[in-house]
Amino acid sequence: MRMDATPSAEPVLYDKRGCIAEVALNRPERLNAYDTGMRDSLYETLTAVRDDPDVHVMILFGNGPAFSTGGDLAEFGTAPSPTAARAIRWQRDVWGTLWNLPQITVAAVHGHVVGGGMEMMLLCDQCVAAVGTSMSLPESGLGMIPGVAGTQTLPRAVGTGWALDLVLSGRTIDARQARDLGIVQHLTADSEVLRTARRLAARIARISPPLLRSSKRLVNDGLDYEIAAGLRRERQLARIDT
Amino acid sequence: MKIGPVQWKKRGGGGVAAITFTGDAGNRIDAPIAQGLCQAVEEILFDPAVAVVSISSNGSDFCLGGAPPGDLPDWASALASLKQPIVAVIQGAAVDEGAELALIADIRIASRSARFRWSHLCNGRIPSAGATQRLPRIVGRARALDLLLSGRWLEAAEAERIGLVTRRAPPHRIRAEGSALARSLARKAPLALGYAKEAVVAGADMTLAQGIRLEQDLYVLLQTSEDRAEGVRSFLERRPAKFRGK
Repeated sequence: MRMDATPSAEPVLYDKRGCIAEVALNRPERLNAYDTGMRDSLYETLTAVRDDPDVHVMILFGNGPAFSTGGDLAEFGTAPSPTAARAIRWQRDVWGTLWNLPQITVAAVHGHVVGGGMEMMLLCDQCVAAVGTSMSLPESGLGMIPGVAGTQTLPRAVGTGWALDLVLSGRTIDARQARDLGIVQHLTADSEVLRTARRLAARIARISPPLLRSSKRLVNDGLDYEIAAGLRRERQLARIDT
Repeated sequence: MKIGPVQWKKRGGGGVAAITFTGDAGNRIDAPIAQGLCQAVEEILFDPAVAVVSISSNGSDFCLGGAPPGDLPDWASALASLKQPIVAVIQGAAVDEGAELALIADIRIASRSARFRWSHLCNGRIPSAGATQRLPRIVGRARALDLLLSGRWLEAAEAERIGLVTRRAPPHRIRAEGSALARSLARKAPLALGYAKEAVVAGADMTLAQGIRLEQDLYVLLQTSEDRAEGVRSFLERRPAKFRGK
């Protein structure tokens, strides 16, 4: 993990290594809390990844001491009216874009993974975490609820029991608990997170790109279908791709 | 307030409505208990002073079963209709309807000696207080079928491992830790708690895209609340928030 604080002129950094895209959240001095600037920049970056047929896997990580602490509260209260906020949310749907990326997405997290930061992680397909990572959804203690799809992605990942506890109580879990819950697939030493994510990404990228895209869609969308419809879709895509 | 064998009281301005079974006859759910639960829910449901509901037992067991809700006032649907988060504080055994009651709660904290059992099928009947629907949503389909088909005891340690219970306490501390958990939830913003519960529970029945829409609408709606402004202000001023449920 690049722990050095990169000068934060660009709130999101993009790098392409062969067929693997690396997207870095880059406001280390704010623990990668996202403000409007970072969100817009992330939206531009993610749409570029989406439209790049040469990218098959994307790694999302955070520069500095933390992956991300979610929405930057310093900016809250300066927001437009709720109706305007709602319009903007769907005009530039950064979180929907992340979820719907055709590429396989790997979150590489460390340090604090809080609120929208944890939700970003949950929108990715796989997660590599440093053992020292701490995660929480503290919104209810601030008069809010999670707003980056966490109330939807978390129960689908861990069941409603754990999801309700985490969302209602705002409790903090560590990386091992997150692994036991199934939201983290690979635990690594704090200094190894990005390297482990790159190894994972390289391994995934050996699978042929159309298979990656189809299988991701089948699995991620599958819970939205009755199983008969999901099975039909699986058959259709299997015929097309092989 | 005492309603037959069910007591419930609002804890001095703290925002917790504590429903307590008296412990008589293993708290088996009979007509008076069912009636008591329904009545408690009716009074709690639209009470803005209640942010959190806790359910616990004064006896050695949580609840040893009882008559299914179809034969009694529908205590299961009543409890499930609560907008406020429900904390079940479970000690001893939770059996059949008692184990189903525990599933209606949003957060389950259990004594290390707590045990669960759904033995309906072994006794020739189908659960009717929600176990066939809620158990798979909490622990997954295969585990739910294992528990329902075998009717075996599920001990606290395994219950925690499979996510049925998310908090455990030593037997002598369970009541105190259950109350502390309810009180700590009640210090959070009541509207946010209710909306968060709604987003998770209602969203589970929707497609992901629909669920995200629901979450977002509730999120934006909360921007109009005084508590949200107070929450952000208190965070920036580094002081505890004072929420008023508005």
